[in-house]
Amino acid sequence: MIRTASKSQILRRSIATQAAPKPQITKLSNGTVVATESNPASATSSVGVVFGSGSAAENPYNNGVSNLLGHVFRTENGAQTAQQGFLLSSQVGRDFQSYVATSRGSSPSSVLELLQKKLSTGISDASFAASKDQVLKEVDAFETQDHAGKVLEHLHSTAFQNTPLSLPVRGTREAIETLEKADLESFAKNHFLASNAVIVGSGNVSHDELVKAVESQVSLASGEKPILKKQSSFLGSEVRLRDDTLPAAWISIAAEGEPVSSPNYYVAQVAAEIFGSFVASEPASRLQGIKLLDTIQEYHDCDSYDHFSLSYKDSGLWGFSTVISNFHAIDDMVHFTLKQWNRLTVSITPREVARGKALLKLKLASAAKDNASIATNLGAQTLALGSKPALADVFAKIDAIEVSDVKKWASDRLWDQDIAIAATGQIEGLLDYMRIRADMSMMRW
Amino acid sequence: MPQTFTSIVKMSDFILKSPALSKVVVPVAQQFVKYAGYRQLGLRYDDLISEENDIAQTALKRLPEDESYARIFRIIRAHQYELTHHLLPKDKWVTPEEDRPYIFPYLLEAEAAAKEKEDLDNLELVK
Amino acid sequence: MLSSRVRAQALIQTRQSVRRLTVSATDGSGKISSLAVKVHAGSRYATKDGVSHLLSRFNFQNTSSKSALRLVRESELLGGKFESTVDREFITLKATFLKEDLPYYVSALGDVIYKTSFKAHELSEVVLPAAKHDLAVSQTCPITQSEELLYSTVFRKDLGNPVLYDGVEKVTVEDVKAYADKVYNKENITIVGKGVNEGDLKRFVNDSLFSSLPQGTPLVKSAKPETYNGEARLRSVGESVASIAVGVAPEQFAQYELLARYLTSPLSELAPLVSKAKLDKYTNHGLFSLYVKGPDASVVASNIKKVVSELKAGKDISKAKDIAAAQLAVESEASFAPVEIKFDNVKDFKLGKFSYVAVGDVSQLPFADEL
Repeated sequence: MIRTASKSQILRRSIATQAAPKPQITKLSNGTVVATESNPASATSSVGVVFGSGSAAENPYNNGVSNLLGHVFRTENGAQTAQQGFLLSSQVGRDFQSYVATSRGSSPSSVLELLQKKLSTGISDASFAASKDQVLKEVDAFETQDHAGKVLEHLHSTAFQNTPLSLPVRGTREAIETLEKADLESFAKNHFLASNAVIVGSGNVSHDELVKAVESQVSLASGEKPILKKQSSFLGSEVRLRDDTLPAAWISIAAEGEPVSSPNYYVAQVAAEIFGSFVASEPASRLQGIKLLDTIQEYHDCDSYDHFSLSYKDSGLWGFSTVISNFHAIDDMVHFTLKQWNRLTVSITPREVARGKALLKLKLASAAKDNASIATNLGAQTLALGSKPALADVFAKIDAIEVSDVKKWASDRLWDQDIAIAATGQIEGLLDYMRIRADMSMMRW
Repeated sequence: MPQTFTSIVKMSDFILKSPALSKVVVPVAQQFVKYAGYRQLGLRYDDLISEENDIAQTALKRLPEDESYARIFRIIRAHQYELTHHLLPKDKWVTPEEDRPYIFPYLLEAEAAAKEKEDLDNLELVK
Repeated sequence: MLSSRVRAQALIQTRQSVRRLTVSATDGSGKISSLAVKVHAGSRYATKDGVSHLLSRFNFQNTSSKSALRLVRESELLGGKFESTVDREFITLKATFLKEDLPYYVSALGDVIYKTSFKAHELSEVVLPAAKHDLAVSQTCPITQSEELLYSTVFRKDLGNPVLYDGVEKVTVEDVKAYADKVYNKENITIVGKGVNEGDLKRFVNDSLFSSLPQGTPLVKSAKPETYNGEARLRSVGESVASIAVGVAPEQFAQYELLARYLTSPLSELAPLVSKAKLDKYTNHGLFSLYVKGPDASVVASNIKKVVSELKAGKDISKAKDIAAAQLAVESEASFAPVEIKFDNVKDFKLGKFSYVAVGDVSQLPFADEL
């Protein structure tokens, strides 16, 4: 019997919809790019600048400098901007860093004035010291408390060892301790250039007004766009930080994924969404249509897992992270998960792909909620791709993905490919690299 | 088609609905019960259903506490009498009125849920 | 004579069915919609301790027309997800989904509200383990524990009821069912849509089981609740928290809202000491609470003393007006219940009487009279 949950004609009754805002991009004569995603219905507006250099542009000796710059941005004159009603936010990624101010109303000029002032004037000793202190505290807290996050950073460091993507976004304690004000200033001088920047706006801000205001108010330093000396490349390898005092095992395993500009970017995302994520304590999560869950639930193999497809300019990671408190099940969990990955190449079903596509759409459409993160996202994508695709176009691309596309991608990129492994906690039961690597293919099916 | 609890119920409903069929089958069933002799050992029919499968295990887990206790008591008692080659005293035999299904509703529910999961796992999309 | 009476009755009936559910929506240009069904069924209305939490966890379980499994499987193929949360005022059922699937989700939510089966085995196999997990998670956080104690100290009953089910008072599946029958009625629920056309939503709600819900009485409370000042202490392993709370009448909401935002903004030199400060607003009353947290109880002790003494001396909080308004605007955009507060008349703040709770290494934490 064939049953279907696909949309019936009745459910397709007409629904009124508003046109989605399209990202607009203008390149000014002085080389500065302005991008907006305006939403006149919004009560707030975010304006900021995104630079195309993140932690990958750092080196092992100044690792954490972008993070520190972000902190300085938020703490310096914090009281003064707060009184003016600006909410400052900054974010560092591997390929970008953003400085955004959100305020009520829609006048971009006062925000731009603030940004220009912040970026052009030097850093005071007091705010540098306070920020450094704060950053060190946060790095320590991250290292000791956020085990899942730490494992993911180590996954990057082993997978991309000796190449730019290996550096942790927050920076290492060793590097941050030695940082001086001059390091921040020289990093800013080399990377905060007009050729490496996008001025972004989102929410209640009009593109034309912002362009006008940028032309008259913002002057970023000119110069050649900084280019990374080294390409990031993936290396199958592992790092284990065994710590039997911790109450669980945190494990991440990934193969090389797709770079942001890859034509298979969304195929990899759909593939990750097919296995999705799972939280054992959440009843609805246990009912999901994921074949892997049958095995996991019968033996309580893990507490939670999450599949990801992370993409950067040069490369990416496709894999999963899991938390396991049932230590005897570590091998089962890893083995059965990787066996399911094999199915992507040989026997993935149309239902599973349709499910992955639908959930990916949901995820992408509900990702950025507040204007500040919309602005940051817009800037990061504009820098990486030259423009941000409208959501409608992204949906069309996802809709066009067929089962055969997923199978082809998986057979090229996953089947019998090298993997990177990172783990911490009670991981005695995590078997050796070659055994896990062998699960990336099957002799027969 | 493999026999399921659902199919048993369906078949018996069909038989009971038709006067001609029930005239033949019901007396045979009664004879079967008589010769099976489980009532003389103090058991109810539902006590005999094989419990070594997921469906029955789920149903057993969901039995109300008193039902579950009574079931275990009957089974232990039957074992004891069987071991000593005795039957229960006649006044303690299970009467046809007492021999009512108590676990069947739970079995049917668990079976329906398992079937639904199977169907949804093998769902095919129709465009 | 007879026929006229019948007609009169019919007229009354139609009038009643005209009384509609409260439905509101704001449209958006995104690809996504979300719906929230807010039921005045939070812990303050609980007939037994924790029954609201269990009812919230029973949402999206089997209904008489659709099993929990089928709901999840259908919904994931459409690209949508469900969530049910509980707090002191509301049980909120929330669905987030792709815009074109509105009819499906309205009808699914109606189904859940109207036809959940409440089977005994679901309580023991699904609901209780999930509820137990929620409780365990909340007990690992000393701030959540402090908040719970502050509420029970200030309000004792009503808003002071425990939010989560802890098994101290036994709740059976019949209790949950009876509570559902009491709270799930037309007058007691509000449906809010985001990214939804209001006309569409109303149309689909009328076609769904929401329109078959019984008439009832709204449970919303408007009388001012009794409040008390007191102190509570709880020994526990882990970080220490010292916290204070003040019951707030609705006319003081602006002042305390601004205070909470001032204390956590860079404008206040106390900000580094205060881990969290907030005003919880309810229809008839509110609670301002402030938390000082740290691994070292002696540091927490000196910090809370400093914070309280400075607040007692009085603070000019008016300079935080703009940042508070900006924060509120950002939060309102993300929330289902935008709050509008005017800070124009607020100037300064002086702390009077308050309730105090210490959690953690309490031997090192001060008593209320030492503050």
